[in-house]
Amino acid sequence: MGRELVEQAVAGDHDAFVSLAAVAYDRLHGIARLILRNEDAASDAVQEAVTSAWLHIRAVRDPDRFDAWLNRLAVHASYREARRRRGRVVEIGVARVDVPDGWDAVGVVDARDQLERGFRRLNPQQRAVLVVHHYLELSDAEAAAVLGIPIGTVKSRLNRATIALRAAIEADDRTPGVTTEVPA
Amino acid sequence: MSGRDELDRRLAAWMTETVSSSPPAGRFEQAMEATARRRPRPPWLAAFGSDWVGTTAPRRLEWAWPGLRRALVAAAMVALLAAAIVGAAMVGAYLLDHRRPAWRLGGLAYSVDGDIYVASADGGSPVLIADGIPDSASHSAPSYWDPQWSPDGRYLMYQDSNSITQVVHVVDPQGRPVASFPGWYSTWASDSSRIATWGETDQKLSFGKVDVRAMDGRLLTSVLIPDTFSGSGDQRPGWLPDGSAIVLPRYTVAEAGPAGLQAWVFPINGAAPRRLSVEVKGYGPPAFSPDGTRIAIDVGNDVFLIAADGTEAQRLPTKPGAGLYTNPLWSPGGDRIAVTRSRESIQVVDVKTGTAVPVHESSGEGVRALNWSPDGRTLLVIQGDGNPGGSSVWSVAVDGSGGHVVVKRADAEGADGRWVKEGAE
Repeated sequence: MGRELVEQAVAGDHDAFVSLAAVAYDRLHGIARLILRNEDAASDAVQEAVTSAWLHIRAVRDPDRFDAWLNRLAVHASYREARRRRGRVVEIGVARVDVPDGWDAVGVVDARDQLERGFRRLNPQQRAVLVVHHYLELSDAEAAAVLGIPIGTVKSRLNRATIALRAAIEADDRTPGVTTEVPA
Repeated sequence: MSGRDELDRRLAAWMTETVSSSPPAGRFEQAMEATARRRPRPPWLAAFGSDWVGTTAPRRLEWAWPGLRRALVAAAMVALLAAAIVGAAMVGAYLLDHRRPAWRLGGLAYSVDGDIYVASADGGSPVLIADGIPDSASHSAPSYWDPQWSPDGRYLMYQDSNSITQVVHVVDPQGRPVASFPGWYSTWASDSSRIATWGETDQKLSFGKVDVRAMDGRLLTSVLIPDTFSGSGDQRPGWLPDGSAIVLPRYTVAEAGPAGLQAWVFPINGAAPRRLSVEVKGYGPPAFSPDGTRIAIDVGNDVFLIAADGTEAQRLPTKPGAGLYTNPLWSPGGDRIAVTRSRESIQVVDVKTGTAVPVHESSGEGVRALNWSPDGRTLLVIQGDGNPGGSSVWSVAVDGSGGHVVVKRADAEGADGRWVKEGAE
């Protein structure tokens, strides 16, 4: 993402900001979708994140960290959206899956559903640490900056989230057909 | 490959797969439209509420309750706003207080042993301008007494009681004569252009009329005073603040205690006199506020404020201690009243709040007269000096600071300050 574009946006150029947001939007939406597991909630969170980014664009002093800043805004907007939607009926969108020819389609779908169910049983903070680690592929230091927590906390939270996910999947193996989602 | 590595690989693949679909159509445009309607916050405000990666702000605190940050920021903003309002009010009050030009004591006039002296503000360099006989020698009034500067400080008026015919002299600050005319117990109008004095009938002092004279002594008009005001010659004829009428108190007989006191005005255009105030039991004389809307009258143990139209009477809000209250005197701004408690202690009372500030103690010698500086910052106090009929003159700031003697010896009630605007001389 060009520094020049970021600098133009910081100077108040809305077109430049739209260009930056267009490049980042799918990634931000992916972060929110993974954390919230809901299309509408994810869209709302991303809208809040980009609005916040525009309002606070003049606080940006390091264009090279603009992406990390957007990621962080998306994560925290997702946290807030999760709190707002706590207790509501969650509509789960069905992601389209492209399965290569020759694959065991049933097995792939089963594995995906198992991960889906296990992931739902994590809280948003655990989901977020897994997202920044596995989806954004950030280092611990970068993840700490995006999540707004110390590096040590990233490591411990990632470890606990992984254990919790494994436990959820194993439990799912033992009790097929039963899913317990942790409220967001 | 360990179980954990396998889970990580599956998780990464699942995530990539999950987010591979496009976001709902139109949501990006909707988000951009939302931003287009708003403007970025200024840099000093932009840091608030953002998340700090890549910004100038320090590392963001982890709040146990995210709303707490907003609440604290809102509270800080409210506090800043309140501080700004209070600051603006203080600046406004300061400017209001200093809007009036500062005045200083430019000189003094005082009578002692029947003589009139003019002196500098510190009482030094006295100049004798009228050489008379003390009352102890004449067994009547002293020869010359009651010096009064005009409000603008340009002229001095004093009483001449050398003969049965009472005379008022007007002189300049150097004692050069300006005018002389029959009169007794005189008062300058607030614009310094006229003098009200008890007049003469058939070459005898009369309490049946008040003469209004120009500063050069010309008789402008005479206001007839009914017989029912007999005894009012003991009071100076006052002026309405706008100079349109003469004010006199009228006393009704009381068996004991203070008499009934009414304030009456006599228009100098010859219109019928009218009673201004309700009757109160008091001693007077009535002291008009500078805007003429209220009258302060001492009633013994209290000072009453009376609406000039007689519709309202109330006590001065704060009574700064027990005692006899005398000589209420409005400040030039009309916001404070100086009162003398038990003839010894001078208090300045804020009319609205009732806050009383002790200004001066006369140490048992008795306060005889007060005089506000035109800017309301200084009081001139004439108090007894321990000798019969003698007094000393003090100058003191209205906050009680800087009190000092300016004239060590004068006749009782026989001194007046000459106030001049800063920079005028």
